[in-house]
Amino acid sequence: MTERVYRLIFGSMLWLSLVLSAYYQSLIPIYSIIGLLLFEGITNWRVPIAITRIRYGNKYKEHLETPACSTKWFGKIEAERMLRFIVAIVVSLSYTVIPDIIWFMPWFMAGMLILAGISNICPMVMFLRWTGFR
Amino acid sequence: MKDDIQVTSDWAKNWNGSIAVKVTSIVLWSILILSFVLTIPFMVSFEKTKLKEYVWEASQVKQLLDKEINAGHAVAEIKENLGALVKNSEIEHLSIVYQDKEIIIGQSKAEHYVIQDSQHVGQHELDIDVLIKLEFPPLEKEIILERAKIGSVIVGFSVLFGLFLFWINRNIVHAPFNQFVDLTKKISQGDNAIRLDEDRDDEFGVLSKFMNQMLDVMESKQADLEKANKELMSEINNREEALAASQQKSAFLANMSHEIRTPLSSIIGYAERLRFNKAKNKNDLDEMLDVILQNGNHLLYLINDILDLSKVEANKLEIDIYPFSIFDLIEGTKNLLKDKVMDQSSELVVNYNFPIPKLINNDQVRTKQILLNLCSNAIRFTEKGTVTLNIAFEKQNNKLVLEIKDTGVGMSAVQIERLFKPFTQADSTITRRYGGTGLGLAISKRLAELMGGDITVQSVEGIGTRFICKIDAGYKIGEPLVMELSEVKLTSVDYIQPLEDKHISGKVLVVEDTLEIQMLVKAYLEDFGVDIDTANNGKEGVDKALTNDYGLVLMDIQMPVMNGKEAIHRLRKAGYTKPVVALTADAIKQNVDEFLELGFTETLTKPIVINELMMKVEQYLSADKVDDDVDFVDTDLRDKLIERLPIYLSELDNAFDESNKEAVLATLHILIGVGGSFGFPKITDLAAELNAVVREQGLESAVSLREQMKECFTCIINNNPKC
Repeated sequence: MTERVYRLIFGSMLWLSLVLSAYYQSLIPIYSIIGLLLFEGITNWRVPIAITRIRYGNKYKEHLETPACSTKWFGKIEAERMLRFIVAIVVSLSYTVIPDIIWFMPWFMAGMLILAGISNICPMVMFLRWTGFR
Repeated sequence: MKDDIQVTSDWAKNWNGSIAVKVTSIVLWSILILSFVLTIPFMVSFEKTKLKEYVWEASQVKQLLDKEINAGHAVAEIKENLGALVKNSEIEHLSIVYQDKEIIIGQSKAEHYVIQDSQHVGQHELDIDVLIKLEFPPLEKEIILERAKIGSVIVGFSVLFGLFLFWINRNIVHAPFNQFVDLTKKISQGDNAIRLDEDRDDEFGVLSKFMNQMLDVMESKQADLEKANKELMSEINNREEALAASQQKSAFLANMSHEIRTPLSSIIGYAERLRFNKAKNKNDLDEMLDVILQNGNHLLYLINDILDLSKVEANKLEIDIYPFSIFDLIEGTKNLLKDKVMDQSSELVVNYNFPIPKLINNDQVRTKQILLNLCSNAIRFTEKGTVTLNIAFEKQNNKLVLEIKDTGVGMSAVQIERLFKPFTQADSTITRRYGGTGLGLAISKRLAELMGGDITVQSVEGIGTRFICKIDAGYKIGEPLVMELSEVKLTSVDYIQPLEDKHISGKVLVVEDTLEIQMLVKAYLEDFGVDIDTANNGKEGVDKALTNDYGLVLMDIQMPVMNGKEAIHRLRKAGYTKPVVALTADAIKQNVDEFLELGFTETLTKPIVINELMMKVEQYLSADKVDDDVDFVDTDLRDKLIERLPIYLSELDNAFDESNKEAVLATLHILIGVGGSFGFPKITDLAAELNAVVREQGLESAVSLREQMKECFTCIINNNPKC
C-alpha cells in the first residue's frame, strides 16, 4: 500500500468519523482516529509500511516511496510520520481547546487528505520535506 | 522499520503529477480553503439566527395563547391549537401555567435550550398571569450539526468536483499533452514520420499544425542533409580512394623507376663498354652480352606486366579460348623454370591427379602466364626447398585445379590480405630482396577470374605457402580423359626451330622509320641468308613493294610521311596480295584486330625477339622452298598438328555455321601460321586464300575453298604423302 492510497482511505475515514461524531454526538470515532494517528506517529509503525510488508515480504521496500534526505537535526523524522502528528494535534485542538474557532480544520484536513490521495500531491508533506523532514 | 527505507533529496517529489493534476489540485485547494473561510461568518451568524428563530416561535406561542384565552376557549381547545403550532416548530416542550390550569405539550429533554417568560393576558374581563416555559433543542448541538452538514457538503462537493475536474482536464489538457509527449519521445527515437492530429480548433490544434509543419520542414531538411552527407561521404571516400590509389601509384612508379633504371643501367653501361671495345676477351664479351640480354628480357617482362595490368584496370583483358594440352603446357613451364629452380638449389615436383582431360578449352597463353607467375613466385621465395605442382581435374565443377605448394618463407595474415592488390607486394622490402613488380599475382587472380575460376592462398610464416588456382576446364562429356601420363606424348618446345641450322632464301622489305630497328632486323635476317631491302616510311614502302617482288613485307605502324595503316590500305587497294606483317609496339587485341581488318596478314610485337621474327619470316618465305623445309620440321610436331587438325576443322565449321566472321578469321590466322611452319604449306596457302576471300567477299563465297580445305586436312590426316 502506498502513502497515496492510505491518504485517500485515511481522509475518507476522518471525514466519516466527523460525520458520525456530529450526528451521534459521540467523540469515539474522532478519538479512535486520533489514537491511530498518534500510534503511527510515535511508533512509526505506519499502516502503509505494515501492509506493504505483509503483502510483499522482504521485497516491500521496492513498493514504498523513497523519503527525502535531510541535514537538519530533526531530519531523521519522516514527513509522513510528522503528518500523522500534525493531523492528530489539529483534530484534538479543534475538538477540545478551541472548537468554535477552528471547528472547520478537521473537515478541511479530511478534504485535503482525500484530494491528496486522488492527485498524489500532498502539500503538507511537501511543506514538511521543504522544512527538513525527510 | 525506518532504517530500511532509502532516501531521496527531492523534497518536492510529491509534486510529480501531470500539469493537469497540478492545476486541478491548486484549484481544489483554493476552493476548499475558500469554502471553509466563507462558512466562518455564516456559522457566526447561524447561532444568532437560531436564537431569533426560537424567540420568534416563542412570540408566536404567546400570541396564540393570548388569542385563545381572550376568546375564552377551554383548556383542551387551547392545548389542541397550541399543539398544532408546536408541531410545526422546533419547540420540543411547552409548559403553560395560568390560574390553576397547566398546559403541557411535548416532552422535556435533559439537554435543551429554555425560553421562559411570565405574561399578563386578558383584555375585557380580568387580567390573567400566565407562566410560559418553552424548551428548544440545545443550540450547541444545532451548531455542530450545521457544521457537519457544511463540512460534509464542502468536502463532498470538492471531491466530486475534483474528480470531475480531473476527468475534464484529462480529456482537454492531459490527452493533447500526452500526444506531444509521445511525439517528442518518438522524434527523439528517430521516428520523424509521426504527425499530430490537427482536428482541434484550440491552442493544441494550432500548436499541432505548426508542429507538423515544423516536422515536415525538419524531415525535408534532414533528407537534404542526409543526401548531402551521403554525397559528402561518397566524395570523401572517392577522394580517399583516389588519394590511396595515387599514393599506391606513386609508390609503384617509384618502384618501377627503380626496376626500370636498374636493368637499364646495366644495359647502357655494358653497351657503352662494348661500344668502346672494353671486352678483354671472348668470355668477357659473352658475359657482357648476357648481362644486356638478361636485363633487356627483364625489362620486357616488366613492361608486359604493366600492360597487362592496364588492361585489367580498363577491363579490356580478353580471353582467347581454344583447346590445348595441359600436359604440354606444364612440361613447357617446367623447362622454362628449370634454370630458376637450379639457381635456388630447390626442386620442382610435378604431380598429376588423373583423370585429366586430354585437351583443356581455355586460354593457353593466359594459363601459362598464371602458372609461370605462381611457380616463379614459389621458386623465388623457396631457397633450398621443394616446390610442388599438383594438377587435378574437378569433374563436378568442370575445373582444372593447379596447386602450387612451396616450403619457402611463407606469409603472415596481414601480408596475405595485401597479396592480390595491385601495386603492392606482401612486404615493401620484398621488391628489393626478391625482385618482381608486385603486379603478377594481381594480374594472375584477375586472369583466373576471367577464365572462370579464382586463385586462393594459404600460408604459414616460416613453413610455406600454398596457392590454388582453378580455371574452367571446358571439358565436355565424351571428350577423352587421360588416365596416366604414359598416354600422353609430351612436347615441351615453343615451336621454334634451332636457328643455327637454317638457311632461308627470299627477299624481305623492312618498312621502318627507326634506323636502329632497320639495322637490327637486317642483321638478324641476313645471317640466315635473307635478302633485305629497307624503306624509311610508308610511302617509300608502298612504292618499293609495288615495284619489286618481295616474299614478305615487315611494316611499322607509326611512321612519318605515311603511316603503316595508310600504306597497307594503299597496297591492298592496288591489289598487292603478298603477306605484310605489321611491326607494332601496340599489343592490345583490339588494335591487332584493327590491323588485320586493314589488310595486314599478321602482327609482330616489338621489341623484336629473334625467335619470333624468324618464325614469321620462315613461315612466309619457306613457302617457296617446301621440300627443303619439310626436313627441318620435327616429326613430333607434325604429329601434334595432325592430331589437332580435326579440332581446327571443327572450329572452322562451327564458325562458318554461326556466320561468325571473326572466329573464322581467327582460326584461319592460326592455320596460316602453323601450316608452313610444320611442313604443310598447302594449309597455309589455302588458309591465306580463304582468309582473303572471307575478308573481301564474305563467308558465303568461301564454299569451294572450305571443301578444298577439308580435303587437304583429310589427306594430311590419312598420311597421304602427296599432301
